[in-house]
Amino acid sequence: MDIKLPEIAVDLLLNIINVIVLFVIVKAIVYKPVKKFLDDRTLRIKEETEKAQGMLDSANETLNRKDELINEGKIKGEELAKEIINEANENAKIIIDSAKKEADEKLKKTNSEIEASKQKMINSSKDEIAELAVNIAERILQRETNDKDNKKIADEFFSEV
Amino acid sequence: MTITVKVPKNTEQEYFEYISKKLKKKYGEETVIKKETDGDIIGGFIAEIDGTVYDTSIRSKLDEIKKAIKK
Repeated sequence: MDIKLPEIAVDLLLNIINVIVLFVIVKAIVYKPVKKFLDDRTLRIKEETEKAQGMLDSANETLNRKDELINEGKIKGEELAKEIINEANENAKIIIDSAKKEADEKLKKTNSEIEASKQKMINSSKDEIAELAVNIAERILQRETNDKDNKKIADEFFSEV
Repeated sequence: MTITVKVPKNTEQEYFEYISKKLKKKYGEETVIKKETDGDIIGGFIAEIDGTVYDTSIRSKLDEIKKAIKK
């Protein structure tokens, strides 16, 4: 193989020059737009990321606010329910007390009426018994009383006076 | 002094005299005894002495019994 060193050196040199020229051309034509494109893309991604982060933060804040609102609502709801239950219990107590009082009064009145009616019947019976007993006694005494009895009554009177 | 004595309607005069005797013995012989009769008395007598009424009648006893039963 017959190799000529100077030709090789020339080829090598040409290749190096080609590479350098190509590098310069590529750098001049492609590198800057690509870099700009990449920088823009990076910037856009960064902005999008920040925007997304902002949205995420906003969403988180909204979520937290939502939780707070839910908790507040829950607490208010519980307080309201408690107030309503307390009020209902108080009203129920008032109604029950009132009904109990009314029932007691009615019971008392009824008992009083029953007692009055009972007493009236007893008195009426007593009156009838008294009248009947005295009438019977009167008839017997009218028939049986004689002067001897009358004198005895008189003697008792004069012994006391 | 006058004493009014109310006796049962159907009693004998002797009963009135018995009472009169007792009254005169107690209040004096000069006492005037006025007789009245009442069918409701049944037995005993009622005497009004110096404005005070002394009721020994069976009627009053029966009335007392009636009141006691009614109480």
